[in-house]
Amino acid sequence: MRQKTRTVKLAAAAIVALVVVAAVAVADTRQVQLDSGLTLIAVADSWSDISAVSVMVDAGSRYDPDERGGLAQLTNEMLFEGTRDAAWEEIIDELDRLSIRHGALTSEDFAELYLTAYETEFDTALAWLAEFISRPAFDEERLDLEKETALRMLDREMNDAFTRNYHSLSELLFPGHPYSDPVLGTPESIQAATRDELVSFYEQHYGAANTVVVAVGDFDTDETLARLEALLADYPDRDVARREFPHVELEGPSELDVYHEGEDGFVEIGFLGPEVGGEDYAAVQVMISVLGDGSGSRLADRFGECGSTKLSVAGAFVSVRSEGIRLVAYASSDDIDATFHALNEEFERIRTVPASNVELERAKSRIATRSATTTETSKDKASAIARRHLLGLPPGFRETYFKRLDSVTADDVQRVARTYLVNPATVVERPGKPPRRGI
Amino acid sequence: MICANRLVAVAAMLTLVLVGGCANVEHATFVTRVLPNGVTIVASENRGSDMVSVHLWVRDGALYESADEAGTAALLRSVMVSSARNPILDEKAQAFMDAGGVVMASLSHDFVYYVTTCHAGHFEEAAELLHMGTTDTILSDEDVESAKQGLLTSLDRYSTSPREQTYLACMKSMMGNHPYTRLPYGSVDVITALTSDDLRGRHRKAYVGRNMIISVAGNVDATHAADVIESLFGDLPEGESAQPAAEAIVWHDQSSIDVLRGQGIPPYIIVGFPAPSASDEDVAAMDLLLMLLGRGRASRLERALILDEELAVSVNAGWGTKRQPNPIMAWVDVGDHDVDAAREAAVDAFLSLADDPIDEDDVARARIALLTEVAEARSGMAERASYQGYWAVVSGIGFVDDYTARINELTREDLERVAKKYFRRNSQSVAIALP
Repeated sequence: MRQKTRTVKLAAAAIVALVVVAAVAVADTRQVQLDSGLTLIAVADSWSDISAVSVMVDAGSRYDPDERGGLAQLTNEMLFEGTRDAAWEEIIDELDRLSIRHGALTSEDFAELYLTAYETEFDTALAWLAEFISRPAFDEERLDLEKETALRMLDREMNDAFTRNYHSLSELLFPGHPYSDPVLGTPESIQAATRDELVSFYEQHYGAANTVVVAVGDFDTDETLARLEALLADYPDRDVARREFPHVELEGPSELDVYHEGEDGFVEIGFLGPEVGGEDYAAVQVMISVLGDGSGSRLADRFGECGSTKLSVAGAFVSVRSEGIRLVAYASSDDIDATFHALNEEFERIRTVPASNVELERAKSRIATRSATTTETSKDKASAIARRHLLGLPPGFRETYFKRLDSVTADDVQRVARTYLVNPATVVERPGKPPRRGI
Repeated sequence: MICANRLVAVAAMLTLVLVGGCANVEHATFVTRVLPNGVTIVASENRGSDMVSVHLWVRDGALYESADEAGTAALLRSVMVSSARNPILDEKAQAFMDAGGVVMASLSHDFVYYVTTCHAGHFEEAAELLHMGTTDTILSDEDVESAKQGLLTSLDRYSTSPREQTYLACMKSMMGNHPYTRLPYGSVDVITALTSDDLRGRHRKAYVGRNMIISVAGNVDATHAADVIESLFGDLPEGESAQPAAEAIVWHDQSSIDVLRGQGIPPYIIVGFPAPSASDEDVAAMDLLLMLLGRGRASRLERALILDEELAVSVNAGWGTKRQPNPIMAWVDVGDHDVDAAREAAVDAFLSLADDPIDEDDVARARIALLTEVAEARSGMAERASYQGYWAVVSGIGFVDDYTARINELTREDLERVAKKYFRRNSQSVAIALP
């Protein structure tokens, strides 16, 4: 046997892309929409002793006010940091005592809170979730600590070549759109965030009509739905702020050259993709996998043979958005111009050279495997279902998707490559200092 | 050394009750089978996932090696997984991984194991690849030399790590020259001298039916999975059961403090106390004591060293449950704090469990912490197969549900009895690394 020797960096965005289509063979799923507009979903999964609940709100960073980046993220994180009836210390001691795990995730589109618990403690977890989401305190001292955490996370992102350049790439791909701003915000916007702003964000964006609660575990679905309905009776039933986002159309290619202290160069190339769940979604997934999804893909084979010993990463993936997919290929190398050239040759080749049957089968198998891998736990299942709901995908989406995936042909791959691999946005990070221009 | 993080998972992999006399027990979703050649199969069906994971565990490792053969199992494992020693095998492995499958291998003192994980639709391929990869003995001299370099690099990294040396000092004080006190990777001299013939000899001896456990978990019919495994591994030679190179240690009262000094070492303390083996009747109680000691904000160590008194930067507790008795330990990052005060507080945290009554609320907290860790350790199919295989290899075939029941049956008095048995003032061992 041989150990896997090539490493393909999978950013969170790539995983997000696949969990939309992933779900498990669940026997009993019940969904209700309360009069308030709040959607509750309970899924019986008798195969796990750990139960999970996810509450997902259409309140991601795209709703951050201008110049106030990071507000959505801070608001979401602060929901755990104390309620009107329980201080942070009390909460954390109680969750710790019962081994209830918790976490918050904020993306450009959505804000999510989740809790997982051993089956006997799940009722308590549900009660705490209702408290967090319905009665947050937004304590000033905890906010100061949370801001420090956000600043540390931002610092880490800026020290990572992929994330650093991803932000720059977003600016090229989404000019004038909130997707061009980092979820965490900027050091200035994080430091400037106030309690009043968080309260205001919460009051504008957290409401029954744009929230879904999904519970997955070994329980009676009707009982769980009844319990959630009772617990969430206080969750605000209000008109949440809606916002029209500009439709993005790129008029042509764009490129940004940046310089950094280091030995290797880094290139990141992005394209706008189709809508999630649309007609082309499955074909685009296959195209991306043929092109750059790990060992056996064209980019991996190409860079494995290019002789650049410092090449560390070559790949491509999609980032799911409510308004489309972002396709990104990236690589680092000690000869960044040659790498950039090679990437573009591969983009051209996938438009012109049909994928072989072996390539298609490999790609479809990898997609199916990854979608299975990313929804093994109750928590991952709950998150995938919640996300699918907020994206407006129909209940039978998974089955439809896999049928479409199965029927994707080499012609489909070429067609979507020609359709979507246009108007590239490119960020090239070069080692050293920028060249001096002019006299 | 078993690091604290790994111990969270390993310690959660709890013992199993031996299925006395039941060589063939079959359920709809859980199958155990012992083949005529001694191969043990444990297969569990889980329709909540679309994945499947197949693990092959071999009773081979430091426990079964004398000092002059230490590292043979580790080198053999490296050769088995790291080289393109057979083009057909290599092609199969590459195709498997290209399709999204994962191939990996690892080892500890008690075992070596090989894993293939993939979408459940490829279960047969995963099983065939595992069979081919572990029974094929084409080992060229080039493969062996290449694997040696990798292993020696790992060995150098571990043997020069101050923390690893501190850990080994603590282990040696408690267990003398027992194989558990050696790195599982072996010794430089032995590895350097090994030949491909040596490895083939070890393979013939160790990779036999009586030393193999094959664990399957995932979205497959458990009986079908067992049938597939039987068809592949049923013809292996039965061989002889591996025998430990040393007797299980019998704990005696003895205390020690070792101090190691080195440049750039941050102050660091390891505290060890005796603990039972994986198949000992006290294992469930010791697992609960581990929860009381080192899980969560309310744990004894966290309170004593972090929350009530600021004596350390961080503290972890772990217990690498093994086939033979192995210590339970605490690791303390002291930072700028007083080393002696931190050491005393860490030792007292253990002793308080033996000296003072244990609160019922504490028992309830520990119980749910342990049940949660067990459940989390089985949440993915690779983890589930690992859980089954691990306990089968260090203890014997059994049922997870039995262990859950045992955890629920334990009383405060059980914990106090076990704490008094193992956590005695004159059985502590401390190793301190100082700048």
